[in-house]
Amino acid sequence: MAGQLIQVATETVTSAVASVTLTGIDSDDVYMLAVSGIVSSASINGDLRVTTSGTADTSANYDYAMKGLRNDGGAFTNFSNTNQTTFTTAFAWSLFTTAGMTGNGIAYLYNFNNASEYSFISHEGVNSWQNGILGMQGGGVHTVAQACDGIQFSPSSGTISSGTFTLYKVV
Amino acid sequence: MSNLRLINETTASSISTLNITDVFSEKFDIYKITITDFDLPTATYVNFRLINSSGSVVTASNYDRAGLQMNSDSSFGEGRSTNISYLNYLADVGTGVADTGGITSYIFNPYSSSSYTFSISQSSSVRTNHRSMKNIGVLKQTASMSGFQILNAGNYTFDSILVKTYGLRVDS
Repeated sequence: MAGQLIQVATETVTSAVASVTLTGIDSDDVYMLAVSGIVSSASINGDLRVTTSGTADTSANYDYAMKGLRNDGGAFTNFSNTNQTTFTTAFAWSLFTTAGMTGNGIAYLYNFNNASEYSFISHEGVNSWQNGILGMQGGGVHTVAQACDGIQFSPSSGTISSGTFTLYKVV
Repeated sequence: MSNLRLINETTASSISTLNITDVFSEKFDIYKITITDFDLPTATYVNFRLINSSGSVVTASNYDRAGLQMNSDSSFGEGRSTNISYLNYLADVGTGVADTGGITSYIFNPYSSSSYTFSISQSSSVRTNHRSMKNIGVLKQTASMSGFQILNAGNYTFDSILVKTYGLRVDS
């Protein structure tokens, strides 16, 4: 049956870590990253990077375009940039540290395993901050034709102390 | 076996609200909900509430929401609400049987008593012309939730509605 999810990797954070890396992408299927309950030590944005041989690619080859939804009275925010060192604000956009305020979201990963294609991501997230609710919707591309075997999440500063990160294959 | 597990499938008719109870548990952190066949006699918006672990619908004004409405025949709209008693505007739907389209939502951490309950939803429907909605929402209570309620802005009677609830299984 189409649309099934097969778990590839998971990590549940229970003490402070600076990043979470999930690997195991080894086919040309679409993969889905599901994230819930991120708790941070400081106000953070969430960063995502592709991995090769389990190591995050920090080269300045990340392009993205996103729409930031918010309820604090400000206009929805357009985020776009090229040649960055990370996909930014995934699952956490100014995530606050108040109890109950967590980062969450879903991302789809495309062409990661294909060495002759760029790696693409689409994602949607939601979290709270001091003035209300925020959520980023959009996508990006890592403009290097290489095989990538996973994805790394890291906070823009400090550490995260909680969160469940699970990588599924969509079959 | 798929890690996307069907927990509940409910079909109903001739009701103004639909309560889906006892679907959230410690077994899952993330849930996927699909809502289809929601035929209504009057054009309106489909809304959403949570049901707590005592079985009571949460009607307190503790919900925040932001949404982008994309219209095929007019300009796009940005919507935002704070401290309301439900999550509104999941879908903007007309009265024709062919108008309903569908809603897909993800619910995060509803059973947790240490996290707020968050949602992301998207819908596609027709109200004279096409309407697409992208929404985020939160119930600002650190309390355990066991289910949810589907309602509509006019308290009209759903001629029919089909709701499926899935859990995203995590195997440790």
